[in-house]
Amino acid sequence: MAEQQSRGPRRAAVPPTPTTVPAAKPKPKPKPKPKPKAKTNNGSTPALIPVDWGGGGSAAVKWPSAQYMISLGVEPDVAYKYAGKKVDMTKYKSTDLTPANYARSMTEWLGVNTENARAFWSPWTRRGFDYKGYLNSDSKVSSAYTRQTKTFFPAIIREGWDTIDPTLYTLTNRGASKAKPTATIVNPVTGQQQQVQVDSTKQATAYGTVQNELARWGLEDLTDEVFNKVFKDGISDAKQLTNYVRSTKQYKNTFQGMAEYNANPANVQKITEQQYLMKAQAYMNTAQQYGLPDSFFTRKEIGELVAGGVSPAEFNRRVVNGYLVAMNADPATKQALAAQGVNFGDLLGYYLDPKKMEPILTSKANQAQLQSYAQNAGIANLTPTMAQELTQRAKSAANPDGTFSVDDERKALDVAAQGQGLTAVAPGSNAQTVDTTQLIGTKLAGFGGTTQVEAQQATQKALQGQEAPFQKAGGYATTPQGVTGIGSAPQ
Amino acid sequence: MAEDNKQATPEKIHTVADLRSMAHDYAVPMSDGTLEKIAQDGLTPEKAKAFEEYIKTTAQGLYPTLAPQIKAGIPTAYLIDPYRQVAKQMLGEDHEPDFTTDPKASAALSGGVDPATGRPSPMSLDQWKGHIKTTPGFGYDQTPQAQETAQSAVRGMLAEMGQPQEGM
Repeated sequence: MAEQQSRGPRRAAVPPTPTTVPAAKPKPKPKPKPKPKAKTNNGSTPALIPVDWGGGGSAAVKWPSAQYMISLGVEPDVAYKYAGKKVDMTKYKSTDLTPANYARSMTEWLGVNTENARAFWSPWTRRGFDYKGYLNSDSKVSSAYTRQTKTFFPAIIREGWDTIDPTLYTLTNRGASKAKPTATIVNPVTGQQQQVQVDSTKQATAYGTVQNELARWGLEDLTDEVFNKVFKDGISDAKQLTNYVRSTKQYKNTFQGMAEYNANPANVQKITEQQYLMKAQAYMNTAQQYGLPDSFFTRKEIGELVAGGVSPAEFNRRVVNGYLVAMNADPATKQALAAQGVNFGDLLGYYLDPKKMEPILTSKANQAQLQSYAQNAGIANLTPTMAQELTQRAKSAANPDGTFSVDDERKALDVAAQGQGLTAVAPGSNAQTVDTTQLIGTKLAGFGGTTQVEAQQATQKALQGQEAPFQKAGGYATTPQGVTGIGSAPQ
Repeated sequence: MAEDNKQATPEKIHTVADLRSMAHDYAVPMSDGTLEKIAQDGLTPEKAKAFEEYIKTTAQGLYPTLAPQIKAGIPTAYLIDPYRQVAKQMLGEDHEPDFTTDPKASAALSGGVDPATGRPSPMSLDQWKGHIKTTPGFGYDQTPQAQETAQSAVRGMLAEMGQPQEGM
């Protein structure tokens, strides 16, 4: 503390009251500016004045933390008195208190000597803001701080003294503008380009710093591990950390194909992770531009392209060729395929790689057929997710591991169609209802996460809850043991 | 931290302040009201001795991993002082870890494992440092030093992966 206090001149006071505010004048007279040459601590110190940024805006200004104010030379008792408190600025006229007033007060004080300036900027320097160039001479210090203070202060007040990240701002002659509120990355999982919000709250902690940096590389899942390596195990060597990250499963998933490419002696120029991501981004741009389906172009495909040394230009050429063929396809064929849920991108995928695309197209066609069947049977609310699950679980030549036959699934849809009356009750009725997933689940074990026995019991209760016979959903054969039509529970 | 010659011993206990000092040395929280009641009818050497025994027994219960040392007469405050000092070095002179009721601080005394018995033991000072750095409640990761370390480590790693270094 003593050391901090000896750094610079003390403030006379920090009085957030109207009496301390410069009187209303068209151009308030600044206090006499102490010359920046002095390296002593006996210069006059203007008061810290909370500020309303002229002409409205926020009504309150929050004072910084006591510790921070003390580090700036404010007397501890004053610092603790006002720390963190909000000062309602609505009672001040904007002509009384302007950004210029406040900035001038601060810069006068900062300009007194290098120590004051260093004390003010050091917390930001630790966060990556370079002001060292300005420390060569006192005059440079003064002019640089005058400029920087004026330009940054609106941002400081807006975002808070302790959380603002100066590295996110670009200093221009016209003020400070936030240059990097977001960062563009290629998501290595989907391969898609996306904007990542740079979270300044996260950035304010060491953990947040690690998280934000790794997120830009699609390695956010490694945050805990990397953080512990650095802070628990004390590893600070970049190579050691990199080797660790490269050994993880997450890394290998993210950078598929890279190791194979680099291990190939034919590839003299090895690629870095940065280059890998750039390639992936280029592939994905092409894929998106020509509407290739997501399932056709996954991280695995990116890995294969990288491993095979296919340049983005070569990939683009292949896609363009396929595009031209797809474009020239017979319109009637395209129309017929569209009815089967096959769009232009799918068609393009087929021309590019028929073998890879065939199961995808089959699956799409099956899904479209099931949805159509359900609609015709009277199920209006079979969602794409439900249709997709039915398709994925249907046993076929392309899907020998399927759980149900297509016939079983159609029968289940018939049952669900018959039970649609159980999905809603008359207003005022307290009878139980079931949903379409449960109805299908009575026939197809585990459908939609249901348990078959529970689905059957729920359906039975819903049936019993019908108050009058005419309200019952038709089609179920019931016995004292339960509903047999939907597959009774085991006796 | 009381110095050796100031350590409260039964012979030196004459006032409530002496009782408080002994309770403090063994890091046993006691209210002034209770201490005053103990001293109400005068502090005889016997009473002082009994108080010391009580404090030691309580301290052994509160800090089981330090029980043998406490039983041998080393005040708890002395035993936990290295942890306290490390915490102060890392978190600032104002930081006062509460080893009695704060689980993240008391982990210093039971977060290690005795390799011989497999039972909980006090952490090594290196472990304690790592614990402070990685336990969010201590606030270490909000310090400029931690942020600088994190930034330097991760950016160094990403530079290894080919990320161009940002120039200011």
